[in-house]
Amino acid sequence: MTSFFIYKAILVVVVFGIMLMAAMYSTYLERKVAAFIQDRVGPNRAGPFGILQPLADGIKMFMKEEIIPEVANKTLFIVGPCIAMLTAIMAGVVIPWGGELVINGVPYVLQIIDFDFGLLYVFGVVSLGVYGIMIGGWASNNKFSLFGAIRASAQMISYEIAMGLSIIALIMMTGTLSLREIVEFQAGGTGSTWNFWNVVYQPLGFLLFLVCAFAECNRTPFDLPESETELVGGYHTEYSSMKLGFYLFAEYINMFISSAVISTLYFGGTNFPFMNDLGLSQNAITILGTLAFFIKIGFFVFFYMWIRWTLPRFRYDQLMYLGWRVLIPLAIANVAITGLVMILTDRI
Amino acid sequence: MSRADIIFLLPHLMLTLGAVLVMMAIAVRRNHFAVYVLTCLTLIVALYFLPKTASLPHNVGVLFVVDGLGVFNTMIIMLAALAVALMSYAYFDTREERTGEYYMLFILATFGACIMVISGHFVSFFLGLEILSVSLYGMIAYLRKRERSDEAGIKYLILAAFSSAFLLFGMALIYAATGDMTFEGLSGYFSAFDELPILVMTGVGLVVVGAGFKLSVVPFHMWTPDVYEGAPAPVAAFISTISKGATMVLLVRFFLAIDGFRFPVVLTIFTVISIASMVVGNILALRQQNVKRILAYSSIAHFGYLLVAFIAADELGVEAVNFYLVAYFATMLGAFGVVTVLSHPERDAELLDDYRGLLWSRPALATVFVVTLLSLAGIPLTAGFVAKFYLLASGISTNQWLLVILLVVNSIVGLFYYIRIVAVMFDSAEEREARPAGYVGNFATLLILVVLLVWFGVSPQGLIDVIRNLVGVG
Amino acid sequence: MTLYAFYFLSFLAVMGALMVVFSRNPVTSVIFLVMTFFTIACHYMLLNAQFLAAVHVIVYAGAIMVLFLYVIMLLNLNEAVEKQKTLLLKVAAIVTGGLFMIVLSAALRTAETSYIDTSVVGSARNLGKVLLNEYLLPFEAVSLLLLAAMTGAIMLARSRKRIKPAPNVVGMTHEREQTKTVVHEQ
Repeated sequence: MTSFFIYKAILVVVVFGIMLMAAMYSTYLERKVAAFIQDRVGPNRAGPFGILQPLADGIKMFMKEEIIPEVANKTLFIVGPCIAMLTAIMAGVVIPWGGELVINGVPYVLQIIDFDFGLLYVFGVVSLGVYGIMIGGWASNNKFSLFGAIRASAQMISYEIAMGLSIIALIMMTGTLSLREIVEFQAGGTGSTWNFWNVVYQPLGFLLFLVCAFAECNRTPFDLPESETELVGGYHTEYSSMKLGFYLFAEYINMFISSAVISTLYFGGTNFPFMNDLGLSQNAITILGTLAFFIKIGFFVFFYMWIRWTLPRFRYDQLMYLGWRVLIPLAIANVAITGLVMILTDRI
Repeated sequence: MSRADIIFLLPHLMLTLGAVLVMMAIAVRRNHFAVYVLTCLTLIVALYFLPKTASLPHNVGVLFVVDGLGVFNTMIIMLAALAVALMSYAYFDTREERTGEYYMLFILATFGACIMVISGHFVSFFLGLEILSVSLYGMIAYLRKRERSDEAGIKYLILAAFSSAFLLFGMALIYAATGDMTFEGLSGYFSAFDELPILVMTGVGLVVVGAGFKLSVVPFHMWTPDVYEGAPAPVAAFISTISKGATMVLLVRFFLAIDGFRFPVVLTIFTVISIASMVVGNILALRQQNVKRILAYSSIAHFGYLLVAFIAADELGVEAVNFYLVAYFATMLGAFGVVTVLSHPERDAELLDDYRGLLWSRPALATVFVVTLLSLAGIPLTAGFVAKFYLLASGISTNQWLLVILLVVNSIVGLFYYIRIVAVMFDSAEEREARPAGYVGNFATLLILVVLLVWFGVSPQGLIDVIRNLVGVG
Repeated sequence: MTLYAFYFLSFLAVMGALMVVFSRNPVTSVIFLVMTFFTIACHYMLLNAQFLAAVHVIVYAGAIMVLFLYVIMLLNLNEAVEKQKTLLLKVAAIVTGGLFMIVLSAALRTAETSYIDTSVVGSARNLGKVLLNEYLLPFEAVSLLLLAAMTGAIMLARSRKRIKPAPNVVGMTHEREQTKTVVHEQ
């Protein structure tokens, strides 16, 4: 029992650390990618290739003066960023970061909890995420912040529906809500256990999920809650110092988590090609799998940035049009088609 | 679900099909007449597919009991719905609102009521009730340009939601105690007790609160006059007949299943509700100047009367409830039909002044109204009289003397305000603007209703036989 | 362990519910309501109703309360706007509420409840099987309920109320108002 707790505690701390590190270096990566796409150099002063830049940024954030506006609702003003951060980190609990690691004959699964309804848990946490933005935006007592908050809530709810519908087809195929089982469903390689990742079976579902994930993370082209050109800074206009840092951090963590979810659901998670044909030991497969998982996540984080520096922002009515009149019907069609194919191919 | 199940549920399936078809029709092109015809056709087809008596009763899973009681009431609900639909066309044709959605909500509300009368399970009970209520929210607030419609809609929405919460909580308590939600299973559980466990009693009480709201019996009646006043006249007709009737039938089924009147507590609750409804309904009606509000209070009082037979809960009582429902449906539909016909596009004909001298300006319509009012009052040679007589008979046969006496006294009080409306109609005629010629459907409906009222009043035996044959089966 | 979790969650739930009522600020009320929903979802977890717990959070906390907050923010409700209830109403509410509480506690204190094996219910898999076999008809009927709700909502939201001219307003203003609404409706 104690060893179980110690192992879980270590896992929690490690996952927590990884998420914070990932968020930190996402900021660095973002600036580098932006620079690359715009044909600039990007941050290169702090350390070799500017590798210490996030650290410098962090110190700067802590050192800045903390301002709470006179007219703001003080409690909620502080609670806002906390909720944003909390909900962002909570989703990491159910992500299967790796397979089984056998040490001294005792198997250790690299996942904090494997809920039966892991996918719903992710949805629940994501749907709570909007409170951070809404409360912060409202408590600032600033019109621009309020606009940002209201936009965020409308956008999140609209895209949550499409997101939920896009995932139904996948659940129909795999027959489970547990993220680990979804990963195992995609396990295999060549030869006798030829198996594809879900993205092959669910291309449309993947596309819909990806778009919705962008919207849920408030990333360009869906970053209307904080669109600088119209709303100054959107919901975080009044924020400064580390509270602003929390909001930015939460956004990057959300990006990281959603990349992890996309990889898990559609790109095999910890599976990698030929994993069973190389004659590796169980532990080696697990470690390589985790590595593969992080490579996939890295790609999607890069993809987020790629999109951000390529596409312009939507207009608000376009956003709503896309959510309600394109994505939702497509998602429903996807469910219907999947069901039909499953019946025809006897895969129920 | 087997093939037989589908056959027994065909009327309900037809209604759902109709709702979807109406939706599609609206999507293609908005045409009031087409949608209206589609609605009527749906109801007629659904009526055609009612299961044959010989094959009853039939259980569909644990959820639905298609028996004589259910089929008979499904039939009268559908017929009443048809009458309301016929009235609605004329009513909405002269108003500028979008019309399509009304019929869709209308069919869905009818579907909800039809689900309720055959449900033998808390799940289907609640589902039917909610489909009915949710559709009614939209229907009540349909005339958006009216001042009162929002008020009526919001009032109904909040109170209906609130009472649904009570209902659900009551069901939850009963389920917690018994672990069963089917009426059949509950009947087994209840038969083991001579006195109700307090948890179950609380549950039953909360269920009664939820159902009492729908029946608008005192003390859950506050919404009734306001909603009737704010809602379009055909919708008010719908609420006062179909919505209440379906709930009543459901209560009958539930309390027959658990044999609820063995328990003195239940008996006391319903006796109090019955007396309060009769007295409060009639007394409050006396002071009203608004015909729709009078009808609202009258419907409260009528459900007080109806509970007398409900409390009797023997075979005669159930027959009486069914006969009373038929008579009450026909009467209320007739009364609201007249209100509908007389209504001006800007506002409904709800003030007593709107009826001044009606007998001289529009004798036919006034005659219809007089007949319905007399039937509401329970004057001989109308269906209302026979129905009330039936109630008295069942009350006397179970020795409910207090209730019986109060019923008689209240009927006399009630006479007062019905006759007042009649008196206003006899007043000297005054010049009034010319009205549109009217619609055939409207007049045909009213004519049929009046004929039915008189026919059931003069020779009720036919209807009694039908009820006895069908309901006696269950 | 489960018992302590139950007491802790119940404490939070009751506190949250009380704070919903006692907070002066509607936004605070909503946040406490979210907290209450969350703790109730945790109660579902204790009862092994995992699917219900997740859906409870997603639907109530994640969607309905967000819309609630949205409306409150748009209306800019605050203490000053709120109408004070009369003393009579307050007393009546307290008395009825108290009576109801007494009845319920009396009912639940001596209650013998039936036992349901929670290991066979609650998970999404079991729930799905029950819903699509035994309760298929009600499951389908729920879609009609939603259809009715949707139609009603769209219908009510769509048609705009025309500005009703006061009875003594003469021609000119009347017409102007009418044209204004027509433009509005287009």
